[in-house]
Amino acid sequence: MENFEKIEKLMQTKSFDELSKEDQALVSSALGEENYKELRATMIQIKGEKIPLKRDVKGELVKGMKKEPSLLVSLFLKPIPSYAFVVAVLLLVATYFLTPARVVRETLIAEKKIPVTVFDTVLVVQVDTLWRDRIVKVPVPMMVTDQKEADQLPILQTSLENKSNSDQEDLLDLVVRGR
Amino acid sequence: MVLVKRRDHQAFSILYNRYADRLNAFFFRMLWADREMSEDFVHDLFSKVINKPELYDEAYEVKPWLFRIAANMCKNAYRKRSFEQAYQSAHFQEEVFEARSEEKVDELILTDQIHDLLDKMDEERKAIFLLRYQQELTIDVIAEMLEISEGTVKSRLFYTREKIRATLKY
Repeated sequence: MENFEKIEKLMQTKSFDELSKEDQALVSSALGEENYKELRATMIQIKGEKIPLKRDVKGELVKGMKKEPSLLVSLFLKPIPSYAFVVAVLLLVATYFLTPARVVRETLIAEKKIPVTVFDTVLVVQVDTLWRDRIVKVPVPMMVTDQKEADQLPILQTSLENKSNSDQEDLLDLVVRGR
Repeated sequence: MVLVKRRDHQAFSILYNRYADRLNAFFFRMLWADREMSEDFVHDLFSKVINKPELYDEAYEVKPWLFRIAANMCKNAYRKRSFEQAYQSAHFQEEVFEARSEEKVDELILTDQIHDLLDKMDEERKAIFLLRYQQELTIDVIAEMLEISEGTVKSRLFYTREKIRATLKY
């Protein structure tokens, strides 16, 4: 590290044979003669080295540069600061709510009647089944405790007609009194 | 560079003519003497200059700025290559062995003494060596570019020579 600048300068300017005895000793101790020669040769060979390109890279790049985006695309690509975006949105919202709603008035200029034939379909549902309620009368014997009620019952009256007194009494015992 | 920012074709042409061949040489030496790759990298670098001119810091000189981008691109290329090699060695050991043996034959034919010497250096030291002796940038500029101290640049250059010396002994 101490002799870095000196060795570097010697390497760039003098071959090993051109070095003084002092410098030769310094270089030999730091690098060695062969290495000094090799490194010097390498440094000289790569100094300011330029390698020309085989491809037409410049042509490709300039061609790309000329293809600038259209005005519309560039407008979209243009960066917008976030505060500007927020302000724009707020303005839009405010405009929407503060502007009174437009009332569209329609004025009749002329009226034209166009006859229109309407073909319509009427669906008629035919009745194929008729339901009728049927009343079935069934005589039901009922227990009656009162003579008056028994007299009022039509079934008992019909049963007692044309019967002898004893038969009527028996029937009444059975039906009314429950004996 | 200010004119390039405004997409001035002539200014870009001047910039390109001044630095393209130098950058190509830097990439060629850095990227395993692969000519096609170095030209692709030159293309990519100038594409960045055109498409992202806002990256240019006017406090910088143009040449160190361009070579700083170039050095970073090489760093990414080395990283990518190390990932690829690790993946290949893990999955296709036999195939890689065959491919490498072919590559070695090609290298023997194509590479020169400089490439052999540079190939023995690691990526960072190779970059410092090339920036110093190929591109003739000063120690302080290299230190600023790579964000390291001047002493570190010197020690690494010195170590470069030490290392080369050590490797040449074998």
